[in-house]
Formats: sequence, structure tokens, C-alpha cells
Amino acid sequence: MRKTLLVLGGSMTTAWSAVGKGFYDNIGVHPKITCWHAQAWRHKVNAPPYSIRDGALHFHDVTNNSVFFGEEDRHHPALGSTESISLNDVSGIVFTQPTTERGYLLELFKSNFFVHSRMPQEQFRDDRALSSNPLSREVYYVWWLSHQYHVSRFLEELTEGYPAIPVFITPEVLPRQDQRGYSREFREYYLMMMEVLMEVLRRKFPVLGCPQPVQTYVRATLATKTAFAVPPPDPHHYSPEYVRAIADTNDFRGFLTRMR
Amino acid sequence: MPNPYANLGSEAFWKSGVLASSPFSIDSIYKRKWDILAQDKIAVAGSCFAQHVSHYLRVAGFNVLDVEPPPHWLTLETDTKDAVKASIDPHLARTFGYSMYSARYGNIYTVHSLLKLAKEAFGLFQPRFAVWEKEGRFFDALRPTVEPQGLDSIDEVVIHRNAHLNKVREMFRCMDVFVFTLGLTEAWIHGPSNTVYPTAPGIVAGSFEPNRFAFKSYGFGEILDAFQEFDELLRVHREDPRPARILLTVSPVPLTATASGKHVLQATSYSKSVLRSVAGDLESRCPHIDYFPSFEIVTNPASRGVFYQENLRTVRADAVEVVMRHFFREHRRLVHGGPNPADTRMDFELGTEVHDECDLQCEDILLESFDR
Repeated sequence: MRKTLLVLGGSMTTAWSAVGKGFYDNIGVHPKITCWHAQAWRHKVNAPPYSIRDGALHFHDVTNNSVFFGEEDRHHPALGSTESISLNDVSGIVFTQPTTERGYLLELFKSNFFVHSRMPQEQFRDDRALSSNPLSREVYYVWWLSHQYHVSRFLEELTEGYPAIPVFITPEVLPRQDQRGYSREFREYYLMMMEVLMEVLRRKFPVLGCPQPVQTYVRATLATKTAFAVPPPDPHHYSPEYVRAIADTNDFRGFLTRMR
Repeated sequence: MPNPYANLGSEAFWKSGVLASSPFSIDSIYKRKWDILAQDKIAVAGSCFAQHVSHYLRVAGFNVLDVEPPPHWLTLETDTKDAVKASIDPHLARTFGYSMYSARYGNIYTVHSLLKLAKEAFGLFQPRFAVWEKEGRFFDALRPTVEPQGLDSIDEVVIHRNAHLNKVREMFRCMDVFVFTLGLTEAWIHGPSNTVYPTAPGIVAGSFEPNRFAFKSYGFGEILDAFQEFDELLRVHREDPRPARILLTVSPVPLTATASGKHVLQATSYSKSVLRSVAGDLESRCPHIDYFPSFEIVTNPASRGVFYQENLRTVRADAVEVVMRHFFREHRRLVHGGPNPADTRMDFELGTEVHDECDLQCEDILLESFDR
């Protein structure tokens, strides 16, 4: 019997639906994909859109607002499900929700807060740190909590209650080249911060994940290549090609082997 | 005049000034030397007791500098989203050393630490063994508690420290009034480099190596000289040619522990006496230096120890209110949000602004865990 891969999250799960059956056949899993509106996570402290009880994940107020692949996908049979999912049947979870959200990150960038980190294969840049307000990863995590508190609670419940189910966090996607509203400096900041977040989440929870695969963006401009992101005016969603690039990473392969 | 005491005020006599006077309202115990104006930029530093002073000055509407303010998501005031409320502890900013003082330097217990900080900020001093490690995390040895979990690498500590020093330099240059609470005379140092640490290596992080680190008990002359050197440093580097006005206080909080070999009571008495003498000497000679007697108000025998909590060390939050009431008699509050400054009753019904002693960040108290 095939292992069951549960894909959870907001509108990013659309891309995980759109990769098609062949993709899942190829990696040898049976997908279960569900999607909820991301806003539900932020504003419903006392009534989060899920609950875990009696070994199952139950959904409340699940709506599929993802229209980025066309209105017809709104009724995609894999999306918008409100059926409970028995966690006993789940072998592994791909979780697309814990992103930093570009709007929030831009605000952080403009406030000149900076987590000291290094770009891949680059040296530390002291000049940037000196002209900014350095943040520790702990304080950055609190920032992330301030708009993704539910996600942390969900991860906590999931990883503590079901430690045998590996959880893979998907990376964010840099703005595309034709999204010209973002400076090179912000793109650099974005890449670093998404890597820092992944690192912090891995430290806080027993989760797996990977940074944005290098073949999906142009190093010189730090812009995501056209094929890997949804065209403008979509703000930040990735494409099925991006899902394939993630699946091609050693981190994701490691996740697949850890699926129970 | 029959004798030189004949025309003195009641405050000059023990019987009228102490015995017959309420410890909650002591007349004439403090007369300001100069005013603090609404536009004056005030910087606050010192031992943990100074956190109270800093807090009360802010609440009273004074222009207390915060050159390293907390990110807005560490405070509740600027973000009322439910999610934030649910996740963020209102005291979180202080846990990370924000808004305790005018910069994120943590507690500065000794005058020598203050001097070294100023010298380092002005590029005149390079500390040694300034990064401590604990379980793979790295701490700024000169302010080890501002990042309770430490940082990821030595490089990161250095970057954070350099950014901090930039802000401290900016603060020293622009401040009009400097409020400093003298806390301790005992410190742990690296002798060859004269690096002074706020806590012994091994308490928060790092490890104690006897051939590298040494105990130091600073005497009156050393502390006086160090403070004067600090004062001179400020004069040289300030934007304003006029000297910064300095308000000194002595922390009434006894030592948690002493490494002097003396009894802790004796060591406390010695330490506070030396610090009080230094403050007194500076105040009597320097027109720009004033002394506010928080130490005397709290340790007044007439209070019979009521100002301390059950551990006989921690100053009660309501006692701080009493102390600051005396302060605000001379330096009028600019905002009247708290208890009436003129209220002289024994009134422990305080407003919500009270800054509980429990909230204070204090490395010294960590020593208590080593008490057998």
C-alpha cells in the first residue's frame, strides 16, 4: 500500500494539486491535499480552522480562496475539503503555511531590522549590520509568531502528538524578475530571512525543510525564474514547477524516506 | 548665635528628621541642584535598581532616551491583533534587554564597567574574552543576559555588539542628563586588558578559568578616578560643550553574594559605603553632578526594613513608589498618570504602572542559586 502524503496549508497547496497524479505516482505516494484560507490562521485565535482530536485532524471554516490557477480550480476536487483526516493513515505531511509573508517582511525590511546571516557562499556584511538594527533569531521568531501564531501552535500539537509523522515545510519563493517593485537589496534580504526562518523552525520543532532551490532563481538578480512562480499580479505563489524543484532536493528525498 | 546647631532645620537632627518623621515622606531629604526640563534628553544606566528609575521617569513624561528601542512586535501597545495578544508576553521586550535603560547594555553594576563601555564606544578600548560560549550558543560577555538564548556565532555577537556601541556612542554624545545608579564595588575582570564583566564567567555562560579571570574589589580612589575619567570622556565627545548633568543614586539592594572573603553583610556595608562616598564626593565638588538619596530612603532605620521583600534584599515595588515620590517633589512630573506626587500618606494602593521588582533583570540574583 502506498504511503499517504498529506499536503496542508493555504493557497500554496494549489500548486501541489496542479502537479498532477503522475508526480505523486513518481515519488510513490498517495496525496491528500487540503487548503484553507490563510487569513483564518491569523485572526481566529480562539477558533482556529483546525483541531486535532481522537487521532484525526478536523477542519472548520475551510474555504478555498485560491483563484490563481483560474476560477475552475476553485472547485478542484482535491481542494477545499472539510472532511476529517485520520492521522493514523498519514505517513508524512507537507506544510505550506509557515511563510514569512512578503508584506510583513517588507515592513520589517523598511524598519531596518536585520537578522545577521550570510548569503549562500558570501561573506558576512558588517556594513549592513552596522547601519541596521540587528535582531537575534529568537526575536525574529517572536516577530514571526506575531503573525503566524496559529501555525506555531499547530506545529507544536502535530509534532508533539504525532512525532512519527515527519513534517516538511516548503520554502517561500523570491519575487519574480518581472515584479520590479522589489529592490535587489530587498530580494537579498528576503532570501536570507526565509533561510533564517527555516533554520529557526527546524530548531524549534522537529520539522524538515529546504531553502529555495538554487536552480529556481537567477543568482545575479535574485529573481525567481518565470517557470517557478505564478505570473504577476499574483504576489507570491509558486508554480507546479517549483513543487517539482522542491521534490528534487536531497532534503525532500530525505523526508520521503522518513515517511512512515 | 548660642551654638552652630541652634538655627538648623529639623532635617538636621536625628530625632526630628528620622525618629519623628514618616519614612514614607521625609521632608527636605532631597533638594535638586538643577532642573530637568521637558526637552532634556535623559539617559539612564546602572545597576538593576536603575530600571525602576528609568521606568518611573518614562511614565512621568520625561524624555528618556531609548536608542535601541524594541521592535514593535515585542510590545503590545502598537499591535492589538488577537494573535499577537495570545502569543506575546507583555514583558518580553525586557527579557531581551530592551527598554530597561536608554540602550541595550543591561545592568551596569560598577563604575569601571561604565567607563569601559564609554571607552569602547568611543574606540578607546578593546575588551578581551568578550564572547562567552554555553552549549554551542554565544553570548556577549559584557551584557550576557540581553539575549537569554545566546546567538549563533561569535561573528554574530561581534556584529550585534558593534551595532550596540554605535547606539551607545550616539546616546553619550547627545544626552543632556545622565542618571546612573551605582550598584557594586565587586567585579570579575580580565586583569591584563582591564576588561570588566557584569557577572562572573560561568554564571550565565562561559567558564571560570582562575588564571584568566580575577576577582576585583574596587576602592574609593579607584572608583572616584574612574568616574572622573568617564566624566572627562563625555566632555570631550559630547556635541554640546556644556557638561552633561549627572544624577547619581546608590542602589539600596544588598549584595546577593560576595567573593571578597568577608561576611556578605560586611561586604555589603563596605560596598555601599564606598559608593555612597564616591557619590557624595562628586556631588559636593561638581556643580553638574547631583545625588538623589534613594539609598537613604530605603535603608532608613525608621522604615524597620518594611521597604524590603521577605528576602530582605529585594526592594518592594511600593517602596520604589515612595522613593520616586520624593524625586518627583523636586522634579515635577510632566504627565500625571500615576499616584499623586504630593500624596504623603502611607498609600500602597498603586496604579497599574507599578514596575514590579519581579520584572527586573538582574544577573546578581543568579548568584543565589550557588548558595548551599
